[in-house]
Amino acid sequence: MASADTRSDEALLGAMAVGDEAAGIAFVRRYQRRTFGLALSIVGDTDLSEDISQEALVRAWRHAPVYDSRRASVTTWVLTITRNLAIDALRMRRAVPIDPDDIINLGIVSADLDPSDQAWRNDASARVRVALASLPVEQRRALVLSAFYGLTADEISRQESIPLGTAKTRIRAGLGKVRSILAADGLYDGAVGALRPPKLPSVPALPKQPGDAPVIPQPPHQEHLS
Amino acid sequence: MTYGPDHFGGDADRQGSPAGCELFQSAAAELALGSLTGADRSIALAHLDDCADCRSLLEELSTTADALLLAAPEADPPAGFEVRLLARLGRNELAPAPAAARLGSVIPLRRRARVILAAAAAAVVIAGAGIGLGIAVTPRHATQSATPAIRVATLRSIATSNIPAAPVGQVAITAGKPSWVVMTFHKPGFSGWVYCMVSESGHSKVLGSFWMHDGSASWAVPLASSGAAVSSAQIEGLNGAIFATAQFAS
Repeated sequence: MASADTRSDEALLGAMAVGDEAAGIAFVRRYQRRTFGLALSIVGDTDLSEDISQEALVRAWRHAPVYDSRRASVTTWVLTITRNLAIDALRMRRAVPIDPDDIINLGIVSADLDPSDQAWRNDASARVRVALASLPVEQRRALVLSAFYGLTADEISRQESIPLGTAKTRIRAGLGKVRSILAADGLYDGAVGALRPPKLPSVPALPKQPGDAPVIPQPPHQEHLS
Repeated sequence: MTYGPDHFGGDADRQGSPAGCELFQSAAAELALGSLTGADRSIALAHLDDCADCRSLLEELSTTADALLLAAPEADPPAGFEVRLLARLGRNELAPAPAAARLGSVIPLRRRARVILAAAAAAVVIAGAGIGLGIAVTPRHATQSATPAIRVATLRSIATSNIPAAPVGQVAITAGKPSWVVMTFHKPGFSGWVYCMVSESGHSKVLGSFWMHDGSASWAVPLASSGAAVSSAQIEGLNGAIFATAQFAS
């Protein structure tokens, strides 16, 4: 058997699914800094972030048998679980004010990356940070509030004291620009591998009879294992 | 501004008409980010049924939205993270027991705590047999002044104007070093984070937070003290709402 540390994420999950505990430990060691960092960025509390990060890794371990590589990369899957848990925790602790600058100041948007440096071009995380950094501040705030804190456009409009239409426009423009930048970087071409486009679930047929409600599947990034 | 049926052009535009596509594209970012809700989301998804271009757009935007999470900086978790995680998974044999458990770390009940739970369960049975709530169970040969081996109290929900308080779980505290708090708690239909607090020598102390799934949880956490001075326990939601309290017999 190959050393656990050198196996791909998918291979580790596959091994975990059949009870390979060494693979599980390797998986935890590979992802604990990412999940803890993401949770800390969102909730800003070390103890709570540890609980969130641990719960995300526990769920990934226990749900390894049902991981579907056609829907999302392992990284996306694990980080999405972490984000959803963090958002749940935030919503239950409403006393904590949300400020997207908290995330921005933690280093997500780093302006000190040199575009001519080839090292960062091979790092998907750095490229996403650069793309975010290129957005106008108001678009970046709206996008961070939506992507990391799970706020709707209506909630963003209230938090930022802007019209609802403006909030929607900022979200749309911000995400569209990041998409264009990453596409120009070739990040969707599989060069990095972390952003392999997931396959969308099949969309149900329209109801044939009035009142027959279609069953709407959740898009991949909304998957919330429990 | 909201997106109603008219916004997407009604049934006619579900077939991928230019007007329907334009309106879908105005909502696609929110859909990709997961923040489009209710009827708007349902209608937007319905538009995808016959529009390959908009499906492709949504795939790319969803991938972009997922990629944003990569921007979060990595951070080193606190010391002992891995050990506590493995304990949480019930894989203690792969990691040494934490020599000094971090106060506030919660170890869901697994193999290591089974002996403690069995003892606590025995005490609960005795309590349920009519000896009383908050009973202290002493060893057979214990003297009157000895610290009880296990003290058990019933967790009770908070009474409201319509609903009286009711038993919702048990808390047991074992004597010894370390002393352990073992707890079962039920809150039907509830999933989420809760805090456990105890009052010890007149001071309130957070023992830790833990995740409840489908209204039920069991867990154990070591105490730095002997536990003899713990007079009450309390379960709270993350928003500070008190879910249940337990009083130990003095």
